[in-house]
Order: sequence, then C-alpha cells, then structure tokens
Amino acid sequence: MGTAETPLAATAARPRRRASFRRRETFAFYGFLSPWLLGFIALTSVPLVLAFAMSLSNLTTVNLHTNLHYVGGQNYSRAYHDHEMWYSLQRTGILMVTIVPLWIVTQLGLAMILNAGIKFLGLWRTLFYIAVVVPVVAKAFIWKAVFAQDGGLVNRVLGALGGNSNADWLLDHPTATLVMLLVWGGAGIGMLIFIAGLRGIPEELYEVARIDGANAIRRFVSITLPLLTPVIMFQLVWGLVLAANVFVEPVLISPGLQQGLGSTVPTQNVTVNLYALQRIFGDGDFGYGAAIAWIFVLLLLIVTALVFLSGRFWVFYSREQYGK
Amino acid sequence: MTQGAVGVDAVPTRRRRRKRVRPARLATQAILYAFVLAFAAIFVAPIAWGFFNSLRELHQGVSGPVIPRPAHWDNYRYAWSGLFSFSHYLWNTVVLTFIATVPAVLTSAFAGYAFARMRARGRNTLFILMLGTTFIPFSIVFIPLFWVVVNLGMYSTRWPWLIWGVSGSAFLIFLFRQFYASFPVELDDAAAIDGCGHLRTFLHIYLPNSAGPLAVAFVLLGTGWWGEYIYAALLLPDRLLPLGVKVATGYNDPTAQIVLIPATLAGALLFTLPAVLAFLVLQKQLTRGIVTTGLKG
Repeated sequence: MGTAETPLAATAARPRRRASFRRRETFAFYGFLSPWLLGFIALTSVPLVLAFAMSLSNLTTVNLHTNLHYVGGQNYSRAYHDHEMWYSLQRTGILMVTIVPLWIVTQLGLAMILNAGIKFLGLWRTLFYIAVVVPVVAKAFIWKAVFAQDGGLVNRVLGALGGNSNADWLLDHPTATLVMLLVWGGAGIGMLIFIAGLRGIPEELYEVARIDGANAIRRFVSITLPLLTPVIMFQLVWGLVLAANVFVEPVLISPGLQQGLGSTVPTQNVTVNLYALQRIFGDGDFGYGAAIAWIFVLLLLIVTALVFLSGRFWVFYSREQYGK
Repeated sequence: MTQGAVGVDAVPTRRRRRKRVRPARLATQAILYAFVLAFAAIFVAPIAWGFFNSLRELHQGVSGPVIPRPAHWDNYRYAWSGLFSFSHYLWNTVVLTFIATVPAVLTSAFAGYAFARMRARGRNTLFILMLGTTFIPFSIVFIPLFWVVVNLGMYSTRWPWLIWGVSGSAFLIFLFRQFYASFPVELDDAAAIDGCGHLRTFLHIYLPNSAGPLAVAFVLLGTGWWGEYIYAALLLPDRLLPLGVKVATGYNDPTAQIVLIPATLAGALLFTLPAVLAFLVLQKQLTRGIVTTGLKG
C-alpha cells in the first residue's frame, strides 16, 4: 500500500511545487522590478492621466482654485484656432525633418570612417564623441561664441573665405544655428551604435562581393546599407523623438536668458514643447498647456507609428534575426 | 573551417595583391585621413573657440585676435569666486547628480536582470510598456508633475531628484537587459546548484560581472544629470541650484547688467571639465559597452 501511494503523492506534489516555484518567481520578478514599476506608475502613468484631466479643466494656477471646473473640449478647440500653436508645431516638424537625416548621415559617415581601419582609432572616436558629454548650458554658450555677429568663429571663417561675414546668426538664422548645434552635440552616441552595426556585418559578404568585382559604392549600396536598415530604423525613430522634444537649446541660445522661460526666443525656434511650457510658466494656464501637450503627444505617436510601419517596406531582417 | 583550408595559399596571394594596389590604396588612405582630420576639426573647434574666448578681457565680447594676448587666466578665478561661490553650486551639482544617478543605475540593473532572466506573467507587456515610456515627451509628463510636486510640498527640495533616481531609466533597463540576456546560462545553473536564489545570483554573479554596462550607465546618465538644466531651473531655489542653471544666469556684470562672456565661458568650461574627465576615464568601457551590448535588439 505504501509503495502504491508514493508515486501518487509524488505526482500530486510535483505540480504543486512547480506552481509554488512559479509563484515565487513571479513574486521575485515584481520585487526586482518594483522601484521602476512604482516610478512608472507615479512618474508616467499618473501624470499622463492627470495631464488629460487638466486639459479638460480651467486650471489656471498651481493651486486648486475655487471655481475650478470641467470645461470639456474648450482648451482643445482653443488650440485648434491658435495660429501660434500651429506655427510652433510646424517649427517642431521642420526640426524633425532636418535634424534626423543630418544625424543619420553624419553618424553613419563617422562610423564608416572609423571602421575603415584607421590609425589612432580611440583618439578620433573620443574627439567625435566629446561634444556629447559637454553639458547643454556649456554647449549653448560655446555656440553663442561661435555664431556671434562680431568676431564669432563662423563669421571669421566666412570672412576669410570672402563671404558675408556680418550675419547675425542667432537672430536672423535661428533655426539653422539650432540645427547645427543639435547635430554637433548629438552625433556621438548614434556614431557608436552605427559602429556596432557595421561590426555586425560579416566580412565574408564583402569578400564575395569583391571577388564578383563590386566596387566600393556598389558594396555600400548592396551590402552595408541593407544590412544596416534595422540600425537605421532604430536611429530614425529615436532621432525623431529626440528632435521632437527639443526646447532647452532654443531657450539657452536665445539672447535674453534671464527673462522668464525663453520669452526672448526667436519665434522660429519656439517648438511646440516650449510653447506649451510658456503657456504654463508664462501665463499660468495649466489647462491649455496640458491640452497642447496632449495634441503634440498624439501627433508624435502617429508619426512614429507610421515610420515603424514603413519598415515593412525597407527594413531588411536577416533570417537569423527572425530565429531569435 | 574554410579559413583554415584557404589559409595556406591565401597568404602569398594577398601579399602580392597588396603590393600591386599600393598607389590606389595610398590615395584612399589620404582621403580617409583628410576626412578624419576635417571632422575632428569641426567637432573640436567650437570647444577650442570657447576656451580661447574664456581668456579675453572680462568685459570684451569675442572680437580681437583668435588667441587673446595677454591671456586673462584670472577669468577662471573670477568664475570661481568673483560673483558667486562656484564651489557651493558645484556641491549642489554633485549631490543632485549622485542621488539621481546611483539609485537609477541600481534600479535599472535589477529591472534589466528581471526582464532577462525571470519568468513571470506580464513580463513582455511590461517590457513593451517600459520601452514605450521613452516615446513620451517631456512636456506632457512635466506639466502635471510640476503641479504634483508643488502640491506635495516638494517644490524647492531635492526630493524629486531622488524619486527620479530610484525609479530608474528605461534606456538603461534596456541596456542591462540586452547585456544580461547574453550572459552564459551555465552561471545561473551553477548558482542554483549552490542554492542561490535570484537575489544572490544577481548580487554575487551578475552585478560583479557587469563593469561594461555599469560604466555605460554611469557615464550616460551621470553626464546627463550633471548638465541638467530645465528641471532645476523650474523647481529649485537659488540656494540649491546646480551649476547648469547657475552658470547660465550667474555671470552678469553687477553694475551694467550685461553678460560677462569670458567669465561665463570660463565657468561653463570649469563645469564641463568633470563630465569630460569622467568620460575619458570610462570611455573604453563606454565604447566597448555600446558596441558589444549592441543596442541592436
């Protein structure tokens, strides 16, 4: 009888033990994750909901005032008729479509140069990367010195080349100056990621192509580019999000930094983020600012989703990656 | 296998070929180095220009000879103690960077391990949600957060920085997950045989072997918080400001209300120096970390 019982007991106990193991594993998983999870709830989920609630209200101070009430879509219809809001959206869009391609071309170019078997690789890589670790405030003041009208580096170089050396870059070409700042200051990380991508391409492919008589351009177009498309997609989406979020740099390179949150930023450089924040920290209009922020988030979501979906037509995934 | 088979006669042919193509190769090498030098100049010239201009006479703009003569090194002393106590704000910067970075790296390493090595219901959904947070723009989160911070009495305090720190960073969690997912599973088995639970496996095996991603995490997040501007500008009183904000607004001529450009640049470069030094010390781990953990997915 005893011998008959043991297997039964064992089979009954095993699933229970497995279930308790699984429960313990789940428990440990959420334990490991808890600091991030709490932060995710408190710093992302709740604010998103709160921002939506705010955008439906007439909250105009940081305190909950007495005649606070629900205003429905009023803030949204106000935004719809606000030309300055549309203009700021347009400026953000212009930044996105100029900076991202410039980033990708620069980053890929630098990565290819560094991957071509050059001497003192570490030195060059450091020099290309160093701008990334310079704090944004220092970058901005350096940029002001580089693009200053009187005696700025750019005007000096243009003068020496016989061009117009009297442009007031920061006021007359604010977007160009800003784009150059962002490309200069943000190319480094992407460069490292492209280097990683280039190293991942098997050398045999190039050998075979060389034997087949493919020249360097042909090898680039037929091997390097297709195999890098997953990395390019990553950089594209990441770059779009980064470019959409620009607003500190315009404030810091504007002429009068001391006067409120970028009240002297040239209108071409007032991005939609900055416009929303100005409504709040300039006008105290929390409800309206939150509505603009929500409009912006939805538009950005649509753009990134479309870019992702477009990947079906141009991103090349090798079979090995599918297997993973 | 193929390499070994061809290796024997591949060596002489390659040597012969290299000899023949040498002039063309020399030309491409020259072009390559020309590009490298040009790019290096473009990337470094602005910083060098900032440095030269930090040495001009205090009330001067950026005009004058490229390298100012005499060089006003005392601008650095002025930036250090002339208008405000640089060291006071330097300490503020250190504190904010520390409380926002160190907990964040730990939290992210724990979370990265959990995503890479633990099985639990909801794991994949949470991972996608975690990646999704990187798409959420600053303004939409900050607007309500500012309101919450004020109403919880945390305005003008450092508490928000600690909370940001403890809650980690999605980018770093992804980095750690990628790294731990490629860790040899045999280590886990060995640890399990020795009776280690997840906590001990992580603390005794995974964490001590993560120098690469830890360096990447500290450099990326630390330099980010070191130079942070907007949170501090909107949330902190002058007494608690980090240098990021103080340098941007602090160097006004007390009488004439104009920005002292050379002093500002001197202060900005002094402020930049620790971040650059940290990067130079850890750069080998940083570049290797990014290249090998492969943010490629």
